Amino acid sequence: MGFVFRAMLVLNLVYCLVGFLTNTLPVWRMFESLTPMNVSLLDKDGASIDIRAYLPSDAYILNSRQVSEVVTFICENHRDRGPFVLTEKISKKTVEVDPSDCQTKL
Amino acid sequence: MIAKPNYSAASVERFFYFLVSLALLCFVLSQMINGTWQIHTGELFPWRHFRRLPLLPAYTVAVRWALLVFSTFLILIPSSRRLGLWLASACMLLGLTQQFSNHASLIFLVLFYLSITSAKQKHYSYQMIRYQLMIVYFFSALNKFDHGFYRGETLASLGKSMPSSLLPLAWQQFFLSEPLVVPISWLVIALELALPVLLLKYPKPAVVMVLFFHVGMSLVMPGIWSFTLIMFAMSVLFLLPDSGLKSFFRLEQPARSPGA
Repeated sequence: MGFVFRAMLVLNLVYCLVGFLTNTLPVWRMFESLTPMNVSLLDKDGASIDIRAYLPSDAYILNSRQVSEVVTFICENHRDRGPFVLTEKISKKTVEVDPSDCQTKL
Repeated sequence: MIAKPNYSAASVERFFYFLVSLALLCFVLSQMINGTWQIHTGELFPWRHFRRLPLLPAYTVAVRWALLVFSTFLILIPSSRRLGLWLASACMLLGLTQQFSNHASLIFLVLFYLSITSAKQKHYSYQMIRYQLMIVYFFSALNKFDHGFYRGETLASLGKSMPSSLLPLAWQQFFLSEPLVVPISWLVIALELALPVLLLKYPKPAVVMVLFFHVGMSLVMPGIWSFTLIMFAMSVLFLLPDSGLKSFFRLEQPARSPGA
């Protein structure tokens, strides 16, 4: 049994080190960095859509990729309300989301 | 001279399993409240779901929750504990394929380490859980330091974008804005680095510090109560007589196993 646990410990440490060095694995990253995101989403009539209403209540929007994924989800579920306009208020970057493919790249 | 602990290994173990069960119940409850069901019915965005894995139908979530609640009772009873640990591990692993989170993976690891040893080999599991706690704190601190968490911008951003917590909004804003964010950020990193050492050297006060540290975070940030409970449970294992600086690098079973 000692060998099994020793092997698990080594694997555990290697995984954490690789994750830390490559920045690709979720190795105990807990709110270590957060890009301030201030976005607005409008439908074709100019009505505002609350992105947070489509997320579980304990979800925190952390980066632009996650915002893009949520907007794609909203677009796919409400194609009739498209095209959508997504705006990042800090960088003032605006993206139009076409309901035919719902691809969003902020 | 080392003071004799005024608690028995058996009572520490009982308290540990009680906290693990509580963490599981808390995890199920928070999933119920936070909208996991709505994710599986398609109403909410599948937050932290691996796109390559299928999102299972909603009824499987209900079955998983029921089995997890059932397993918490099995874990509390010594004769059925191992079955409960296996059942809970399997449910948590299935849950991780549906929604990844650090606290869910930590609960799974603790359950898994416990489930693969018999009652006589528990020392291995307990030592591994103690190592795991140190790994979590160390790499969390390392990642925070690497990403400049100490500058305070992350906590300030969290304060602006976070859903409401248990604290009144004014308090939440007070703790997560200037001028407190920078010292609090440094304090978080310092505690994450210091607590593993303190747990080995001064387990009793350090366990209390772990509790206060995580309860404090849970009050400010919603949705992490199960993480708080499992970290507290893990720290409680440092109260066992076979824990400490001298036995830190010893994974092998000591001559007299605690509680065996």
